[in-house]
Amino acid sequence: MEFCISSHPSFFHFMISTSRHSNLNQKWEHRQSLALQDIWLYESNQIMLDLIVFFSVGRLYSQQRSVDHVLWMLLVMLSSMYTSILPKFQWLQHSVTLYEMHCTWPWQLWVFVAGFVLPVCSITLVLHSIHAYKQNDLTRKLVEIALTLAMLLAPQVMNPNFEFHHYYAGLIVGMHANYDTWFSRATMAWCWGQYINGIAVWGRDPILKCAYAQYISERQGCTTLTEWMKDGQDLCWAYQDSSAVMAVPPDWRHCPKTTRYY
Amino acid sequence: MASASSAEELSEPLLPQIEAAGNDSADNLERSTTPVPQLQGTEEAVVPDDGDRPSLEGVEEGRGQQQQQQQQQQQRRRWRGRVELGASNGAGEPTTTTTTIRPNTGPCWLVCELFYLTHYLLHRPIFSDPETSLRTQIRFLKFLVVTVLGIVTTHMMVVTLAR
Repeated sequence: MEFCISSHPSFFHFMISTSRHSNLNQKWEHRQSLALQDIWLYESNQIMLDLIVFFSVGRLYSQQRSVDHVLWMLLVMLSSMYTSILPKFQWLQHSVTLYEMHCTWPWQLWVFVAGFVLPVCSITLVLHSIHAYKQNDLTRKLVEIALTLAMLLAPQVMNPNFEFHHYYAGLIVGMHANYDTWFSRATMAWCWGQYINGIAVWGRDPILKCAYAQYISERQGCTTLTEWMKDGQDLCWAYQDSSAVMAVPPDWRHCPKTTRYY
Repeated sequence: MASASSAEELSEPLLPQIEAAGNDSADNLERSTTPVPQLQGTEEAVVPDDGDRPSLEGVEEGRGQQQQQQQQQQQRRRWRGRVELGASNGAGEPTTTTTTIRPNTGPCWLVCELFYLTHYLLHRPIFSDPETSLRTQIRFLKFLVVTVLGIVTTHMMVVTLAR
């Protein structure tokens, strides 16, 4: 089975797209088994909740932040399509994990991050910070960010199976670009394009991946981990050897050779 | 029962606050909850609904009785606008007929102000008017439509281009 992890820049940080079904040789990265009716059936309710949160925190109810104009939609579509074409760049096929960064990142990726991603993210962050300071809004903004991170990210982030899907990154980051300025609107549109790409191409996967799937399945009495392992040899778990699930995650400091960790 | 002079003294400084209470905004709420001028003595000033009406000293002689009655009614409405801020509807007009005005004396005044503020906050519509509510819903629907179209378009384009 081919395994692909691609990382690519956003305005603020890396946004990661991961697929177990993608092929590095394909021109447009996507999950081939995903159908729109599956999204509608299994994920539409969660997408609706995402929209409500994004709409509220992103202040899209205010008059100046309408989304139904061509420029906003063009930027969204540009961001969305950009994400799917990234597999053409082989040196981007890595994830932002301690293990990958320490053990497998090529030098091109480091140059790309240092020369493009971090500067763009920093400029955007500085522009937002200056605007918040001038509007005497810095404290409110920081509290808002802290609360949303505490509610939407903190409970899961320490789990080894956690993966910061790019749709989730777009959701979390984009909702805070909620100022009535050109750079803030552009940031929000770009991030929402990431969200749309993630949903349309990969589906709204849980950020805890197999850990979440196992939790739900066992709660419902549907299946067990053992059956999954026998069946599909699905490399969905965060720390997994080719034959068995490891008891503990690998130590990223020593780059173990026999373990697939992502 | 307060004397007529006490009622009149109370009415004049209140007028700007009372008029401000006609609108339903946070700004006006803040202005309308400023302390009420202190009455002379410890008596409560009660403005009755019917019957006893405070007389207006200082009204120029020569005015007709009808004009005087209109002024009295207008004054009563303004007082009600002050004391019934919490019960105002979306347009800021009073909807009930509570008429007691308490003097600006210590805990009593504080309790009353807290009561009015609490009542106002509990009953204030989330959206100031139906048009705002409808506009927000329409904005959300636009956002929903844009997102759904984006998902469908992206999915179809990527699947098509990947073939």
